[in-house]
Amino acid sequence: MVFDDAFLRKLEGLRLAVRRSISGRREGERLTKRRGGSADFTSHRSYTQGDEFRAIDWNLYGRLGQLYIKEFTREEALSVRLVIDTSASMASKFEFARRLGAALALVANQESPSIPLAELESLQLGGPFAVPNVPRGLAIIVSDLWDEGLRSQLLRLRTETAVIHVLSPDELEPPLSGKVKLVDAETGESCVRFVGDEERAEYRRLLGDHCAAWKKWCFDREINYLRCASSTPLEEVVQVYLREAGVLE
Amino acid sequence: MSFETPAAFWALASLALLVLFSLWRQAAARVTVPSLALWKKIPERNPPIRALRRPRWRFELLLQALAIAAAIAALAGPYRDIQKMQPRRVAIVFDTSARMRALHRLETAKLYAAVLCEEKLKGDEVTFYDALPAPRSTREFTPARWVDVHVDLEPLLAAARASSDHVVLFSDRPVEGAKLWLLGIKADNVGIVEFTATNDEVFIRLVNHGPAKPIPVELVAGTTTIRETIPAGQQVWFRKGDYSKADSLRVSLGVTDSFPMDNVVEATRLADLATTVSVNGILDPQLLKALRSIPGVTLRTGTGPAKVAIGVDAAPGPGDFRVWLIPPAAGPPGVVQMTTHPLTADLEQRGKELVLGELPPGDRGGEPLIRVDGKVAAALRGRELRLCIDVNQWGKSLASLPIFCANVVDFARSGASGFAVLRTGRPLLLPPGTTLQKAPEGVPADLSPDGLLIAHTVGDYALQTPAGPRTLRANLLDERESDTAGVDRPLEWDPAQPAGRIPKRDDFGGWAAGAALLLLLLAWIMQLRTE
Repeated sequence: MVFDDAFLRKLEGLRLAVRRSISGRREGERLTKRRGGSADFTSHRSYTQGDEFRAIDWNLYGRLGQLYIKEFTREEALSVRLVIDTSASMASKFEFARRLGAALALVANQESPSIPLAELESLQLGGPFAVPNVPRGLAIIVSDLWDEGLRSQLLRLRTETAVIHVLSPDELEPPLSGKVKLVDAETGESCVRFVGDEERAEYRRLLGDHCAAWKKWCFDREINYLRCASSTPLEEVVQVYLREAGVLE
Repeated sequence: MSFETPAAFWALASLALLVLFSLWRQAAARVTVPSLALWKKIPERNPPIRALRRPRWRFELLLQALAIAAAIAALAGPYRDIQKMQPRRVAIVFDTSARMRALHRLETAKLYAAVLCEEKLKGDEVTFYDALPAPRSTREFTPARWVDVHVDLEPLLAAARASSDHVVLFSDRPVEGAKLWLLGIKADNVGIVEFTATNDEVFIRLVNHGPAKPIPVELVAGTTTIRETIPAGQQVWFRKGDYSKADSLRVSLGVTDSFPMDNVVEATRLADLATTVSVNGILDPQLLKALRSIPGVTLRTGTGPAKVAIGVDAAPGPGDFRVWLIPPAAGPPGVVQMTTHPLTADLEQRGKELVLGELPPGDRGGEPLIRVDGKVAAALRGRELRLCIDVNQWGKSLASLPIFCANVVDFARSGASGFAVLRTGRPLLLPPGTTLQKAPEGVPADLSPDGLLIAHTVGDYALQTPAGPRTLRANLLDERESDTAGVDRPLEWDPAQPAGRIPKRDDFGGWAAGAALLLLLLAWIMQLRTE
């Protein structure tokens, strides 16, 4: 994966956008809900057993006679997990997905080197695909979303999540006509259909419904959703669509 | 390019059926999609008629059409004529029998054959067949020689037919299954066909294929010469006398005809005549009479010592040559086959007279001489002969009995008795120790180690016998050889006519069939790949 200098310079000006306070393992630029660390006071709260005595505001105790704990905010590095669908259905879009992932990784690594590019290089197409558990930070899923089981896997993620729905031009507008034996790339299952104008229109309608359903499902769960075609120039996707979708800022 | 069956091209109409069938059952194009989730929701429907109007182009359809076209072309039998005619396999058979020497007919036949090969059979594969006396064939034109015997043409023609498309026969005998060049001559031959000579009598039988006429005959017995004239129409002539002092007897006819080879016969004395014969067992009167009539034979009954001892349904007495005549057990007579041997001389045509049976197992050893239905009826073991025959039936005035008796006595005498008559093509047992000194030019004579002489050429043979040097003439005594009457007729088949030739052609039917198979295979592979 080679990006030209101009594109790399444009990436330098971008950063991943998060809507919620996130937490990471390393201290960094992001404010987290985790208290302590920095000198910025945020609030008081009642003392509970186990709190550090050092955090007790003794001045307030002197005035009020009750124990309160002083809380401070902490800046941490953003933890980003990039998940690229490697199932067989991604065959026509895999290269695009990898390049998109690489661009996002470069953006993320500007804050903290959390995504090794070598992992992206070594990704292989094929085999079962599952979303790994992401304990914290931001999870970016690049997939064609043909697997309905993906919904339950996304629900298990407790982190902020962005889904980039990639479709190939052949999926958006199938170049089929006549009697066709359609074979599922993943299961090998097949069915025979006569494809004419009516079938193509019906397919487009069903695909629209399918994408809309995913978009609504993501919206309802505060998941960023972006649909893009693999034929779209990567620069345009990064500069325009990902920013519009709120994945980058 | 021509076709044997051009009508086969009507079958090309089947290509239309192929296209229609292809439209009807168009194979679905195989397409891999990321997911069938949406396609499954689209209901399946039959293709509209308008879709059939635009058939999808398929390579396997083209291959199938080409395969059908190639198969039809193969059925049509494509070929290309070549100007050159295909060489024919022609066999030229020469009848080399003695009579072909009359009027130099064999030489004429050779000349005709040479012209035929040069002018009309050029480029053909010609094989020549003749008999000297065994059948032989050669691809090079070699002048056929003759043998002074009657040649059986059937083995020659069978061999020629087996390896040739056309068989041309040069002969004076019309036969089936050959293109005949008939070389007959006028019917004027007078010849001697039978000749016997004893110390008491000389006998000849004549044939005359010409008009009846008086025939002068001359008998030379040693220093005595007798000349007579046989009346017109008479076919036998004999002269009684005392010829015991003569070393040879020569009979010649004073005629001029087209075939002089059978005008002279000669007998030569090779051995002493005196022979004692004993008969034991059943004393059949006909048997005794036949033995008694043989010159020089002294007949005795019982088991006393004799040169020839015969036992009829009993063991013979002691003797130099012993003969068992064993009555057959049962059963009707069958097909009789005889081995050529001095003991069966002149019996070949008389097999039907013999009421034979199979020898008992213990008596079958030795050289089989006579077989009946393939079973051994007579066997010679050294100086012992065993013959399974019904003597009672045999003795009913049949000629084969005295012939057999004469053969037995001659054989027992270890050579030709008294006057020996040598016939071409027939074996003659010479006295032990006899050697052949000189033979006439022609096909070499055969002299076996056991003293059997077979001469193939008429003429004088110089022998050295224990009794001194002898000159033995080989005589042509064959009634068929004298039958030279015939019609001279050239070959009716014209080899130069195209009808007789098969034009040479290159056939492409096999290539077309092979191409059809290959195309079908390719179409099948393409179909598999598509599906």
